[in-house]
Amino acid sequence: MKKFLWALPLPLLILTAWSLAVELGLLTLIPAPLEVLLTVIDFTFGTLYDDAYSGTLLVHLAASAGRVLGGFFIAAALAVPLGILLARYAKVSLLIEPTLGMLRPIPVTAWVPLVLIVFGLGSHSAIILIFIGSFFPIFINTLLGVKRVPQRLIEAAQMLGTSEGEMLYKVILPAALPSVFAGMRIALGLAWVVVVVGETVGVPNGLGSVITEAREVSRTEVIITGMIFIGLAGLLTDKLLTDGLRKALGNRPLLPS
Amino acid sequence: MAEGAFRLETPPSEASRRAGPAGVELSGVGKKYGSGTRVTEALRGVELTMPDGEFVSLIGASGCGKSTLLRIVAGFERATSGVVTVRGKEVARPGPDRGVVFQDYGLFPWLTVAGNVAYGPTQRRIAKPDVDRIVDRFVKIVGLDRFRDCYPHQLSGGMQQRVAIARVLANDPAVLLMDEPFGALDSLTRQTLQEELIKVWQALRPTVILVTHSVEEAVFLSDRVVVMGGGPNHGVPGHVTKIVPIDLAHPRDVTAPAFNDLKRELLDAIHHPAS
Repeated sequence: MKKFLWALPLPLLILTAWSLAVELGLLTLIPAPLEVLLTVIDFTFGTLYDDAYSGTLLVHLAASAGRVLGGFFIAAALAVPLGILLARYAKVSLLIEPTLGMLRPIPVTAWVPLVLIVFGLGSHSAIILIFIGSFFPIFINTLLGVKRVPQRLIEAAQMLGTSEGEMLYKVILPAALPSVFAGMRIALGLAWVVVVVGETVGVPNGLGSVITEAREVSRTEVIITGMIFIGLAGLLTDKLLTDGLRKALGNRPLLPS
Repeated sequence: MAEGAFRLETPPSEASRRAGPAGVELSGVGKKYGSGTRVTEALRGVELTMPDGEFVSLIGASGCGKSTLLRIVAGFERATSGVVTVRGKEVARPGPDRGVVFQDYGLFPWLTVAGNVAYGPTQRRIAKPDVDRIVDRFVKIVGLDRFRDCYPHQLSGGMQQRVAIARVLANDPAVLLMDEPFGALDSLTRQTLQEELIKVWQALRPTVILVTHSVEEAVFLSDRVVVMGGGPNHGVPGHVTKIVPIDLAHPRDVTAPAFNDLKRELLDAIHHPAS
């Protein structure tokens, strides 16, 4: 509770400054905080304005979250095994790593036109973009995590009677886990960035489409409302992920020693 | 640490007392690295026979191949010539009959103290209740009962090394291989652990090979000290230059004249191998 109180002054300061700036006419293109607050309430409960956005939060949030989690989990399901494979087998690495190395620097935004041409407008294109964006952080962190498992731990496991076949599950994965999870956290954060990009065209719902459409009709208060909910949703999924991981790990240390 | 911890109900290494071939036998052991014209010869012609339960230290200047020799006995590296046998069985790969204690501990950071000690017995498919009993016993022997649920990063270096020792002892190894196990510890912790190591060794009687830089440590602990010399930097492969028996009763007095005579003899052998 004390920690929570410490977090309050900064947002209050920003809100006060923002409010004053609008009041004094310094900010003319941005609505006052109170107006945004009313829009937040209307967007969530739909009791104030009865317009196209009223009470639509859950629809948009569910659409965005579905795309984020879909793309993220597909990425994790492919990136983790591939990272392990490349770290463990030099031949596979020679075969695949140069190609991945060339694909990696291409920003997700550069993929948008191609993905839209090939897969067309719609939800699946957004999911594919999130997949592309989430894949590399998980892949790279898994690869490095597995490669950096200290040789000493492998020797220790060998002399305690661990066979080569058991080594992956008994030692390499547990040792690389903190790094894999770090990659997942980065990827999930990135997935919320990409979902906004992916929803700018061709989808009728999602928080990204809300702020894009609101710009076209100059509803600045709706844009800010959308931004607030994207922030909250990102925060919430990150918390769910880290809590879930912590539960899965018991109280083992998250940092490699 | 409680003295009572060492009163063992059953002789632990029953297997190691059984009649049979000598504990550890090294014959003509050599090691070359590289290939073609870039060959370095790290070790040549090492001969050593250790009966079961003997405590031998390997000592010598850096690069003389003592750690390499230990790693060959452990099975981490293969000798390029000669044979190493443990209880008559040729060493080909690492195994739970040869427990290794590393200078940097090598504990599994995701397992608790108890989890680390249980690892070996669990790998050997020992039933859970028996594993629990083994863990209780060895955690107690190294004096860490109160820390059994701690993770390695929560422990001091000396405590981590105790865990590492308990972890290999829990496998009832025929041979205990220690590679400068106390090298990273402060001198007080080092002394305590040396004394406790002797007690554990007297109680369980594993065959021990200890690599050390410290002449005093070697004289304090061992039945015999094997002095090694040479190494790639000296233009000759690493080899055994002298073997000095230490006929002093435990516990040894490091200030006794006999102790110092042996130290002097060993220092001389290390620094003037030709004489």
